[in-house]
Amino acid sequence: MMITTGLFITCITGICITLCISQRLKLIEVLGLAFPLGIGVQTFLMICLDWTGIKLTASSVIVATLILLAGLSAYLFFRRKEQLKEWQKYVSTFTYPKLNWAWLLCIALIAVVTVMNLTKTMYYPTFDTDSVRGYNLIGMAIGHEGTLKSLSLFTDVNYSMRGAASYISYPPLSQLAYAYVYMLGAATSKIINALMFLSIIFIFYGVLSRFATHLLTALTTLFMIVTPEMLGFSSMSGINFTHALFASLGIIYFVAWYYKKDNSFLWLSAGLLMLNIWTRSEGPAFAAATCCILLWYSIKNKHYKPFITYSALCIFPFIFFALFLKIYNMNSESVLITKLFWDKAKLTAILTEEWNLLNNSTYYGVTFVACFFVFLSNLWHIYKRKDHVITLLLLLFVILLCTTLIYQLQLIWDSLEAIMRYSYKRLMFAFVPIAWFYMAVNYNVAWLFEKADKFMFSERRKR
Amino acid sequence: MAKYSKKTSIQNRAQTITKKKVADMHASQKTSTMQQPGIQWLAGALGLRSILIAGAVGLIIYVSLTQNPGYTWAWQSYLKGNYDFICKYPNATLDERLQMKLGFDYSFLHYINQNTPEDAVILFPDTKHITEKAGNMQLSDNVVMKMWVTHFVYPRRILYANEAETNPLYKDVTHVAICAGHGYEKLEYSVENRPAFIVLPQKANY
Repeated sequence: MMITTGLFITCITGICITLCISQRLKLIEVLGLAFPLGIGVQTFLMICLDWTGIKLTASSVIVATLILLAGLSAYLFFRRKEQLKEWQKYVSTFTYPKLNWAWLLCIALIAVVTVMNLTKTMYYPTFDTDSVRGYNLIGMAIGHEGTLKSLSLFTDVNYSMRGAASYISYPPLSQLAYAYVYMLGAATSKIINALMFLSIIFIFYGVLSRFATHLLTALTTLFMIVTPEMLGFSSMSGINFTHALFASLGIIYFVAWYYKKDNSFLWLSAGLLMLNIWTRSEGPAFAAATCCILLWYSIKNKHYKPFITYSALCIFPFIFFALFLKIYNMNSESVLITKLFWDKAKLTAILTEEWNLLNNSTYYGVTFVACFFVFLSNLWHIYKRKDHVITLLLLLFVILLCTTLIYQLQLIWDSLEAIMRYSYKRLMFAFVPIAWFYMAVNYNVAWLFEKADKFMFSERRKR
Repeated sequence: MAKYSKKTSIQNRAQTITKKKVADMHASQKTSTMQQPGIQWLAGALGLRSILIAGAVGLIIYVSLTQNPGYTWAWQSYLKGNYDFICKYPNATLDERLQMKLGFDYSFLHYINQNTPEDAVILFPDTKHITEKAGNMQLSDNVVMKMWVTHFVYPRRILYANEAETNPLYKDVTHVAICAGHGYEKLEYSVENRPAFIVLPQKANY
């Protein structure tokens, strides 16, 4: 009961945040964004409480969330007329998905995969090594001790948590999310992973259906969620899937802003990319990609305000957490080489490993191979109509920045091969939804599925 | 004047036609939106053409899922395999589920949990002895990782015998975890019956 109430408050907070950012979102998007945004903001609150010296307990976190919720509700109340107008517009223009067997087949398969995966997620408690000795342990300890800054795992000399790439300096979203459910009395933290999996399906479907037919959206969502390695990891307590949700959807909403010119998508993208930085240390690479495109757009249009606000929002969690770590002396040995250098052997090894991963259909199914062929088939439209060049550019830019990040790492805690084959392999989950999004929205595929829709729904000619 | 009135009448007519067109457009939009979930629309939508497209989409999905080893693993081993297994043992307790995944490692740590107080400081043998086999029982490499073990015994604290000179916690040890028969030498009393895996208080009067 306590767990349900706590998570319900989280979701309501998420819904209010979503509505404050945009009134023009589809119902499926609002429902999908409710949990990730809610828990993201709640973990910010938890750090603030810890910073001010208030013990992290279920009651203190819930009270803080309810205060925030009251503020958000008041804001929404004052904007109720605008809100109501948007809802009326939404209801009047609402169209049912075009019902057809192919769409029903895809939806049924999505439902089957979801039920089976959620059953597996909830059945097994945390057992994967990285979570057992890291994220879940820290979450459990925070839940027990009510603090992050003075956590025994970080302060006790018995634990050496200050080595290179140690958990002490890891962004805290997942650890605090796990701590929250432990505070609520849960026996395991797997409900967080289950809700994240459910959320990515809803959000991806919602945002893609703005660009593609319902049949294409459902088929793409199905292929996105059955990406083997990503599906396997989604049921574990690792943070890679959560990161993939925030990073990829942040990029996709940026693309939605660029092509639909709706500013609320830009702020939603900023919010998701903030939480991507709040989840993993590689997060800034994704935010940097969108910031670069936005800078180019701002220079072109001589309008710099959105770029400044967007960049400031994206960088905020990074500075906030760095400050928190600095104040409480929670530093681990840095593994980043801050000066530029040239190492041909290292770069070759990284690119070879990356190429092998991109071609590995056992891990990513047909994702990257199909994306490459779709790109080739669409070259003419890219040249002629600049068809989804920004989507493609962002995908390539993100891959390039992540590769650069690996190149700039000091290999003192693990070998390059191990980093590429284990860490980078999981970082690539964030590329998967972007790749599938591109495959669905490009000219050729969209044209093909529009033809299929016309074929199904046009009336037959009478002889 | 006549010219002006003619122009006005043409303008009026054009306006009327435009208004009529807009009204018609609205009406058709309204009816199309309203008719969408109707039975006629439903019959059309689920007709033969829809079946043909569903066949094509089904074929794409089937070929992808059966021809690609990744998808085959995801469907057969990961989703179906796990689901069938869970349906077979739906009422297993959390401890049993962890034992299924982690085997003897979890059983031993669970036993330690049940037989020591929360403030216990538990000494494990030297890491090189922990994974030795004793009878048909053996701990895995996971038990050599302090944080991994801590997860299952938290809030108890653990340390290894090879940390004797570096870890100040060594002097506060309250219990000794005997692994593969190693660790009896750390007890301050002698034990006659010596199981290979057990946890014992370090002092006789604990």
